[in-house]
Amino acid sequence: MERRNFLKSLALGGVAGALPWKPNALFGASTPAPAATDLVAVMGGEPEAMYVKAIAAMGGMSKYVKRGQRVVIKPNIGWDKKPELAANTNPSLVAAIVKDCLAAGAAEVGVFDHTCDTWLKCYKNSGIEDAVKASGGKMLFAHEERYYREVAIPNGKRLKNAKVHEAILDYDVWINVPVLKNHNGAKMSISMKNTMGIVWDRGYWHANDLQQCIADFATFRKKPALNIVDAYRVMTKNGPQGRSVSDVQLAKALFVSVDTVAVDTAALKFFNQYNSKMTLEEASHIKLGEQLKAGTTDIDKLTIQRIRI
Amino acid sequence: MEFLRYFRMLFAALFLAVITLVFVDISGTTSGWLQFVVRWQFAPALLGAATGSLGILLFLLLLTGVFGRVYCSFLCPAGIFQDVVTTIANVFKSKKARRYTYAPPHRWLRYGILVATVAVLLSGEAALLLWLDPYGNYGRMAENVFRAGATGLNNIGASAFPDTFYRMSYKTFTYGSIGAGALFFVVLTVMSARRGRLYCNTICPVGSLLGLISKYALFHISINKAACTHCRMCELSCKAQCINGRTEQFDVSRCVQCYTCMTVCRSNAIGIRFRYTRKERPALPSDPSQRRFFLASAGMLGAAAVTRALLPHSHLQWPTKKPKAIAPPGAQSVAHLKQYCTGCHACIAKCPSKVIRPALGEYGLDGIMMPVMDYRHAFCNYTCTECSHICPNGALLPLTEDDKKTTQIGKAQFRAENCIVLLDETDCGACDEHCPTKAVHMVDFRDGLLIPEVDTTLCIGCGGCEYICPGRPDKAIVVQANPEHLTAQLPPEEKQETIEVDFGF
Repeated sequence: MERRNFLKSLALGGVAGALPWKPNALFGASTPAPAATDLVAVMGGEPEAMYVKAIAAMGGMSKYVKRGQRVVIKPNIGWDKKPELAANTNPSLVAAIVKDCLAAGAAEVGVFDHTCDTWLKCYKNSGIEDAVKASGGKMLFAHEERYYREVAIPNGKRLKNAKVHEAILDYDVWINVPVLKNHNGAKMSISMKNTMGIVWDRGYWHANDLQQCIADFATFRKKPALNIVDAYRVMTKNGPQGRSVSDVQLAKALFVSVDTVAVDTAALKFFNQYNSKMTLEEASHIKLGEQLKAGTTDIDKLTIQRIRI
Repeated sequence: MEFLRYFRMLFAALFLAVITLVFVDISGTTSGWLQFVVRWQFAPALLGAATGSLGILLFLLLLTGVFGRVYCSFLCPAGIFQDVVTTIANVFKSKKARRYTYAPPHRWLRYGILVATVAVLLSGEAALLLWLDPYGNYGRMAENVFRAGATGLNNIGASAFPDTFYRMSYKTFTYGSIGAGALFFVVLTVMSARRGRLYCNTICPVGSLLGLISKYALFHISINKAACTHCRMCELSCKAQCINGRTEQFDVSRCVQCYTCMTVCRSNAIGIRFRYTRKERPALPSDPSQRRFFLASAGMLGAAAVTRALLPHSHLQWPTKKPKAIAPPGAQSVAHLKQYCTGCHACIAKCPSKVIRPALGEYGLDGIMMPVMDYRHAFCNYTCTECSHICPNGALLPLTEDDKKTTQIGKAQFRAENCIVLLDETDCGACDEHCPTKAVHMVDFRDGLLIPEVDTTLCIGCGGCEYICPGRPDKAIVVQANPEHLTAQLPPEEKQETIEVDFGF
């Protein structure tokens, strides 16, 4: 071999080796370009129909759930309330996600929440237990401290450790499925606030700067694969529990993003259309989350797909 | 007549199983008709006669008036439990030790306890009956001892099959009530293993009262003297120790209708016979001491009744009455609870939130083992009415869901000096979050911070706020008891216009 060719090959090989090739790019596989869409917002449909549009825009569930993986879904099932009162995540949406995960090849789909009201009543009366079982998923137990394990939150400011539900730790993928609602304690209850239901000792958060603790937990190493915000019905006041259907607006919206902070920012802006003037500074866990690099509140810089049905 | 005995055994075994299940039902799945068995009990029917149990009371009285103490062998769970203990104990006894012999009656003890119980009851306190009533005691034993055991078994199951069985907390038990349940268990087991139905014929006030009635029952078990061979098999097998084989006499007031004597009699001399035929009208017992006793009893009860009528709320004032004891919804008032509750703990067994606990000193000495709300580990579910429906005594009166939403058992009181919002100047709102009526709601404090405020007209005292308040060591919001339950206002309906929205970003 000529010296020139040798050097050329060496250089080319070196460049090729240094480049972050993905195997499928080498073999010309036809997966969509990564992160084409940062955030999807869908309006005007039923929960399942909006979900189908949103997940397609996000690249399909198979992008987030691989064949044989175990998936855990964390909706809000905090209250012993019927779906019409919008205190909990919409059961049809949860069912649609369970089915989609199984269709993507998930070996198992578990669903749980550390409820505020009596857990059996919450699971039952929210309609989520029946919906999940009918879709092939299973409800996980989360009512006893035994189901939680201590983890470190090294990047937290006030929250340095927490007891997290074993399914979040042991399953391959977790999907955060909050309901968008008013909250008189945390100011807003969306994706970040929903993560309070995967820990055991919430009292510690309330006693040690609630907003900071919520933000701190967003830095936990195991992040949700997706945040799917249910805004089919929105509790605009008297949250998080609500008193009656007069606290609820039929909004028919859904927001999806991998970025927890971004999806909360978007959902907050959507929520403010209901005669609300909530700022990121007041619902400060969202702002603090950004400061801890858990995501961005600058959603104008993101690629957003808005879909109307 | 063997048939009767086997029928009794089968019926009693089934009844005991079902009534025990109501108390031991850790998964909370027994419902409807199954729970109804707790109503077929004498003391609850007597106390609840004015609130729906009159029919059952009349039936039980009629049953006793016709056949004698059928209740004691067929329906009384403590009675059936003693028969089970006796049967098991007999396995370990020599043939000789298994024999019973006739025991003279302890009339003064039996009727003394009965009179005292009724007198205390008439004074407006169920406290004495609570410690003596066989149903109440059995319920306590099953709820505390058996259910704790079942919880342990469940948790072993939950370790073996974590996906199928869920873990249950032991926090729902208290040492005091486990102690009370275990005490009765030991007393009843020892007494019945040694001397059959000794409890029923010396201590039990229900047994004594039904015994009095059965003296005049239409049918009695009796010995046909012509056929009797004086073998004394009946006496030796009588766990009530009420047959005197030598004199061929039955003490019907102590006979619990177990029908064993009829089964063991080889000459078929024992049978159930109608007593009021013309020919052989039996002489009523004429024991002068008994007459004196009845006179004294009548005088005492009469005096108690008169006192009760003149002073309708003349509750014995026991010491150590803490002000903070909150009676469960449906109790009407602490006084009503004390008047009707025999501490069977059916409400505690049924409570899905496990917010109801047995009282120790909370209500004072006359309220020990009665149900009390405890907001340390739980709070009362807004729409739940289960305790009020299971109570067989009418101590907790049935509530509809709408009644429940306005039944004010206490009022939340905010203590700002312990509140995190004030102390740390950070958001909290845990109390507001748990308030179903928004009696507790957040108002502007400073710099965008919100602080709780209580509207006591809306508060029902469910304890959600107190339970969840993270304030330590002292909570910033605490429910103050309403000794007499009041009616809260329904939260106002705030109509909201439908607003058309866009994406908003």
